[in-house]
Amino acid sequence: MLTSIRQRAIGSYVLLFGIFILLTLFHRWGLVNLLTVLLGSFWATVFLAWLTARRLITPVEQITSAAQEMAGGVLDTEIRVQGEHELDELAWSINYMARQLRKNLFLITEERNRARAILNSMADGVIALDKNGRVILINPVVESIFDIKEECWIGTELIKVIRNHELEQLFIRALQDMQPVLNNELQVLTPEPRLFRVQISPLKGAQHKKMGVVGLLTDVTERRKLEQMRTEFAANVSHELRTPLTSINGFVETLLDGAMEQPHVAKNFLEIIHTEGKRLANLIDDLLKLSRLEDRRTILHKQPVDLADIIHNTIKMFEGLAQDKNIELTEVIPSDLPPVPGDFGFLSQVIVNLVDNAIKYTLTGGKVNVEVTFNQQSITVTVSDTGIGISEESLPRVFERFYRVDKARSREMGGTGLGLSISKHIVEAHGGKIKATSSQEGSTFYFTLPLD
Amino acid sequence: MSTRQSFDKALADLQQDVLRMASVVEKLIYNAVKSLATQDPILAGEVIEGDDLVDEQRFQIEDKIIKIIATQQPMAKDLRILITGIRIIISLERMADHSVDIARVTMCLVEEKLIKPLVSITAMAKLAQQMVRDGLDAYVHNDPDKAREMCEADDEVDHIYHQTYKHLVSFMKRDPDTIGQATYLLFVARFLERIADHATNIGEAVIFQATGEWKELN
Repeated sequence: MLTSIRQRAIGSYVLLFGIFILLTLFHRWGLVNLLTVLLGSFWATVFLAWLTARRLITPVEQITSAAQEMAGGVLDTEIRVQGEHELDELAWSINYMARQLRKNLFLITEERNRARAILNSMADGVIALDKNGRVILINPVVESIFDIKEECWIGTELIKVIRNHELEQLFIRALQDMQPVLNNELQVLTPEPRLFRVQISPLKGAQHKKMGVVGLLTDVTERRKLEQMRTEFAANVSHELRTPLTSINGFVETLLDGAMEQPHVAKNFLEIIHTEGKRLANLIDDLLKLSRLEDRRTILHKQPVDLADIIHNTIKMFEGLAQDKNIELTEVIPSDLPPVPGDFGFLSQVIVNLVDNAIKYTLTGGKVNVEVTFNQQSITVTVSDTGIGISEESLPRVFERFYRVDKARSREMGGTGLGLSISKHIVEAHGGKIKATSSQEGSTFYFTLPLD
Repeated sequence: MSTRQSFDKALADLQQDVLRMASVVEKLIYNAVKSLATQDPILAGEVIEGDDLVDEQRFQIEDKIIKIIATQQPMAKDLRILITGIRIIISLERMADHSVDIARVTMCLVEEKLIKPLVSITAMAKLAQQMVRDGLDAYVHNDPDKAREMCEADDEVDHIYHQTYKHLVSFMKRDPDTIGQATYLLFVARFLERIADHATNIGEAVIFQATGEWKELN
């Protein structure tokens, strides 16, 4: 049995040569004429050629088409060839190559998926640029920070994807020097103003080949805000404590210097000292109350509370003050208002606080309205005024301790600067929510308490 | 690189330069209004200085455009892209000037207590900034529909402007001591209204770039 292609080819030639010799001999002996010799040789050649083609070309074609499929990405086809030894080997080699490719591809995909999963679940933004400054990679955090809607950012310039000149400058600097670049406060304006810490490092390949840069963006808005709040809190507490103390000290000194001898002056001074002392006590009370509420050390005495009652009382309490400023103080309370589980004392304090603020910050001739609405789950109390309003920057901060929209004005009007902060903690301790909105026409504060 | 290729690259570079300039201007508008709201003279100073960068960017871009027109003699759409570029940078430069005007008001009011929190002025600034951003989005994507959509926000800016006007006038009537500051704030509202108008000009330029037609949008 001949199996190799070379042996088969030699065999075919020998066979053909034999037939040719035989036919020539037959002709010489006069057994056949010249035409038969020619025709016989011709047909013998055609037959052998056909035989070779069938045994050789068909498997090659099979291998070719399978290889093409593999090139197209279908790696699980196996080539099955029967017959020639060399072709068998070729087919086996190709099959082996496909198997190896399949294995490597799986490993690479796995690796890539892992890298992608890490990038996607990072809390920080990642931006990578190639050495020409074109985007290679942006993770979803960056997409949401800059509100990127484009799906195809690969290969585009950074400024087209993220329209922030400063950020681009940082990246350009890192790309030029191939040195790490750090910026602690990059301001990003849209969609919301935020602050970022940007850290850019060069990407170096083998033999320190310049490959590009990768930048890490960390949101530091909250941290900066907390730092600021802490500094402000310390400054504010000392200021609020010192103001009454200074005036008490001043008047006591004047009294000691001789004012004591004049009884009517002394009485006047002592009254002032008394008021300032009370203010100091109030402030300290508020601070203690707030710290207890913050620590959740305060125990609420929950019982069914009729909010209508609290609101009536509050409005009665402020009627005089409202009349002095010519402010129209109104209430809208549904008659079938259900009682809400809560602490009567604390809830009264919230409502008194909100109405007090509303009257304070409404100019003469304005309106203050207290309205209650309810549904099956909750009760909402809304206190709206036609006052001076609160700017957008201040709005999220009004519930912070000692935050004052306008420092000078608020202190003139008295108050400790803790009212809204305490209210917020009380409402939250009841499982509710408090919010403020403001527009040109005035501010609205509302809080919601759950009914069950 | 063939002539056409280098020309295409020049056009792409131009677009990026415009985006860079827009990003700087956007920040100027934001900081100008912030400096006023927080009465921060240092920030106001930064805004006034920042305008120099915008002017420089404007002249550089203009130079580039003139060079392209002189050397390449662009036609049809290519020419429209260049004209649009010039229109946009002029609008951006005017916006930066108005931001400087606002920062100057900050400087004048630094010693005074604000008569009211700047609710409507910050709202106007936010809208105007968004308009600039959307206008540039439309420019990058060459999208006339988006440009038209963005110009609708101008009505809202005008509305807030008129409200602010009435509000400030009522302040002045009630208390003549506020006239000085209220007039300044009225100027600021006016500057912001102009900034929004310039943003609609960007929208108009984008529509011209895409369609070849000039349409008045405000």
